[in-house]
Amino acid sequence: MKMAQLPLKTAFVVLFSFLILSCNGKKEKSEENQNETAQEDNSGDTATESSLPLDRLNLPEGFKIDIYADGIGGNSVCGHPK
Amino acid sequence: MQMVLEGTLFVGTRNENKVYALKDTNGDFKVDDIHVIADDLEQPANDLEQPNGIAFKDGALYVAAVSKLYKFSNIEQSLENPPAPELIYDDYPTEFHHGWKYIAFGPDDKLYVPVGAPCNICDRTDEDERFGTITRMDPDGSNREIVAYGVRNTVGFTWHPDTDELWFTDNNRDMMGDDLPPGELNRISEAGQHFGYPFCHAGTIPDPEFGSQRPCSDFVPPVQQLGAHVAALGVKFDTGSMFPDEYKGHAFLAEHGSWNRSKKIGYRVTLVKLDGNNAVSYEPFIDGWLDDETQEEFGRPVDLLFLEDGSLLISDDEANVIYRVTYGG
Repeated sequence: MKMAQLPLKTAFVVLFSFLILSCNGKKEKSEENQNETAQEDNSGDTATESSLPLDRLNLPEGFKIDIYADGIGGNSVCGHPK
Repeated sequence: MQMVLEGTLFVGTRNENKVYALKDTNGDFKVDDIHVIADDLEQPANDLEQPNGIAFKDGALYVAAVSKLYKFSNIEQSLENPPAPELIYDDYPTEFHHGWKYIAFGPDDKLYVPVGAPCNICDRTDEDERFGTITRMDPDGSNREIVAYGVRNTVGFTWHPDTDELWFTDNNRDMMGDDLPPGELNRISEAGQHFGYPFCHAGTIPDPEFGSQRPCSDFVPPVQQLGAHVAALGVKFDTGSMFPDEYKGHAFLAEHGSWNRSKKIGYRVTLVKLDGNNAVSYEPFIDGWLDDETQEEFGRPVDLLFLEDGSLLISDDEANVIYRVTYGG
């Protein structure tokens, strides 16, 4: 599939994902690289309390899970000037 | 994303080359104050590559990169503007493969530093006897010794609250199929024990290449065989007062999740219940980060830490968050 045939928005999302992945993945061990690059396309999303589907987690009766800290090691460092 | 709590919660990272200091200044169990202690983008001279391993002692934060160990003295007094760290050593193996560290001080006041095998499966101990071991040393880097051999890659360990013995997870080899070999939860009952790698995996599986050299009976078997490729990392015992009694003294494991398997497994926190030093069950405590049907996940647990109130923190290096698990209330 050629990039030119993709809708502009899709192409942008794909490009953005590559930027994020190349920034985060450069020093990982090689076996993990395969895994990271195989992950879903939404790596560019910023993880925040509201966007994580905590209701999908299964906990034993009586237990509860919340976000204690977010944005730890987030993608924001990728834009940092070197 | 190893976590250490000492008034401040410190978090080491593997991918971001940063160490964070987090504070909950108003006691609402939400971090509201974040400092970056070490950042190789801003301090290239520090050469902090994969500073995942962190430990705290006598006011100082120790940060282990692949081959180096740094010490930030009186760190909590200088979170705003941390001084350049002191280099404790720079002569650990430099291999990046399995080079990211988990470190911790033991009840013997020694710093424990593992050295992963620099490969999926190999025996390079004639090059450097530290490959595939757990080492320990005094806080100043002296009096080093090897306390466990045959450890492929441990990224999580702790000490049993009653026995003070070291328990550690180990990630076993890849490319032996979906269901082999199992992962390991191990216990060191005396210094110098050998846990099998690369000859025998999980106490029962001879390696196809190295297995003929030494039998499995030569080695210490795991307390519990874990799922194959689940990538168990952090391990902690519940000693707190929040969770029900049925969880007391049992081992919680953070399973980062598989990469080398046709159907993903792990991506969960599991519980190994114990009777003394023997495991009696191995079951999920929290799952659901992975959607089994779509095979997509929204998070990957890395490390565990119990807060003083008995609640459990879980770090996640995919969602870039730390969760807190509570009971009741």
